[in-house]
Parts: sequence; structure tokens; C-alpha cells
Amino acid sequence: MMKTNRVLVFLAGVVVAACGDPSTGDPAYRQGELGNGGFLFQCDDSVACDRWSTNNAKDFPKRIATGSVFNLRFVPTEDQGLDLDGADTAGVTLQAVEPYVGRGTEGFAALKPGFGTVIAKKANGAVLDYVTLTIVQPTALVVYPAEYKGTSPDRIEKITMKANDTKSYRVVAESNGEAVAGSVRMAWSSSSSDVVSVTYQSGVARVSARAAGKTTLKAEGAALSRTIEVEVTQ
Amino acid sequence: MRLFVLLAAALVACGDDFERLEFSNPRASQLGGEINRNALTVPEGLVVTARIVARDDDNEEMSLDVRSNDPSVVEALGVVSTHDYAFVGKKAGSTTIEFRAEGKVVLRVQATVEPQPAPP
Repeated sequence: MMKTNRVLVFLAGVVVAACGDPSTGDPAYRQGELGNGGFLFQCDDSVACDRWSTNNAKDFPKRIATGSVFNLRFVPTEDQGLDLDGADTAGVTLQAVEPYVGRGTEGFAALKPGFGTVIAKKANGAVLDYVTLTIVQPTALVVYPAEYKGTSPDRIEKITMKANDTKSYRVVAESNGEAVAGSVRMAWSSSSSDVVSVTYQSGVARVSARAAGKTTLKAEGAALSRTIEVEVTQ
Repeated sequence: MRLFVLLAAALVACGDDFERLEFSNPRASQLGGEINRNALTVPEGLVVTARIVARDDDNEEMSLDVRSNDPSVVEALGVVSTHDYAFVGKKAGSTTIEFRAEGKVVLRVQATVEPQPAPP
């Protein structure tokens, strides 16, 4: 009975650790410049931005792609002697300092290559802390299978499908051969919708093979484009 | 009556007067910038901070209000830690930062927001 309880306590601990915030000092946090807390980066891809179950990036990214969107969250350090409990933390807002970082309906937007700042403020407008972000212009787009988890996906150069098959893909931006964080919003198109059609939602392109033939798919975003050959067989 | 007026004037004259502003703990941005009693420089899109304390002639702290004359160029913000201020470079240009101790302007500083260099 005692042994069973210990196992249950251990399992409960694992579940809590997997679902909660990363622990303080984890590389998921970028320490604020004032030392009053840390910032978590939230993303939706898995190459430049591998995630915890909470969507927080496991490592705060070094570089973010222009033209991408992302989210940040401020977690105050509790031992700074600041009165940040309860209502105070509830009122914390994040302000993007343009022109390098902006804020829209999807969260923050990386607008321009350079250094950008996001400021965490209390409800009364006082600065809690701020974080500086490095924003770079992507030099290429990498198309990879949507189900891939890891840091080095297969780069899709050509897609071969059978008629009525469906495959899903995502795109990550890279700069000088290294993946950069942020969700780049793409526009996908098919040169021949009789051969393949493509829909795009939440960062995932869903390609459906309709009939045998050859065509190309084009993905456009972050001022770049990527064209992929597609062959559909019976 | 004359004596009373003279006494009142003497009391006012003996009140605590502003003496100085102390600037300390400057924190530059990734691309530099600084604030001192002569000037503020901050790169566009970035932040510099400093601890700024107003003192009277008894060396006591005075209340301090820091304002930007053009918040669209430089935003002056109080920090949660006492006496700390953050200056945000909003867009390239110039303005003036005004420091008021107990409501009186005690210093005006020229503020310049510099554009970031083009990325390599």
C-alpha cells in the first residue's frame, strides 16, 4: 500500500511538472534586464521553437524572424521583495516598443530586423522589467512534415502522393542555415488544383491529391517563397 | 505687523530647498545609450535606465517627477523599484526630459533617440 502511494505521488509530481511553468532558472526563461522576473516565449512550431506541453518554448530563442508572430509571458521573480501577489500580477501588461516589435490580434509581431523590446508593466504603469529580442530577416523557408518533432527536419524538395492521399506540412524560417523562431504566416497555392489542392490553417498546410499528374506548390511568407514539385500517381 | 511679515518671510527662506539630482546605476541598451545630468541618448526601440534621486539642502530625498516633452520620441517611465526610471526610445529624433522636484522644474535634459544601425 505504502509503495503504491509513493508511485502515485511520484506520478502526480511528473504530471504537475509537465503541465506547469518551467522551473526558475530553466533555459525557457530569458531573465528580464532589471532582474525582476523572466520572460517565456510561446510558439507553435517544433523546429526553431521546441515546446513544453504549455506551448512555452523549451529554450528562449536567440533570434526571431521578421514577419513572424509570437507570444511572450512575464513571470515575476518572487524573491525580489516586490509586491506582485494577487491583483498586482493579474494587472501586468506587456508593451511592444515599435518599430521593431509590434502587437496585433495574433500576439506580438517581429516587424523589422534589429533589437526590439517588450516591457512588462504593472497596472499603474510602472515598469516591472523588460526583455530585448534579436530580430533577423530570414534568408530561406524550410518546408517539413507537420508531424515532425525535433530540431533538424527533412527538407521537403519534392512531394510524391497517391490520388486521394492527404499530407500535412509546416514551414520554418531560417537565417544563414539556422532555424529562427516565430510563426511565419504563409500563403500556399497550387499551380493546378485539379492535381492537388492545399488549405492552410494554424500554421499547417494540408495538401490533398486529387488526380494523377505533376504540378507545383508555392509557399509565400516573410518576403520569401518556396516552390515544391508535386507528383500524384494512381 | 511688520515683524510678523519678516518672521514669515524668514520661515519660508529657511524651508528645504532643492540642491541636486543624483544619477547612478546607469544601464545601457545592447546598442549603448546613457542618461546623465547633461544628456540622454537611447537607440530607437531600446531602453536605458538609471537611478535618479533628488535631494534638498538637508540631504533629504525629495519627490521627483520625470516627464518627456514628446512621449512619441522618448517615453519616461517609473520603475517598480524606488528612484529607478526607464527611458524608451520610441522613434528617432530629439526632445527634452524635464525633472521636477516637489513640483518645481530643477533640470531639463536634451534627449536624442538614435536610429539603430542597419543589420549586417
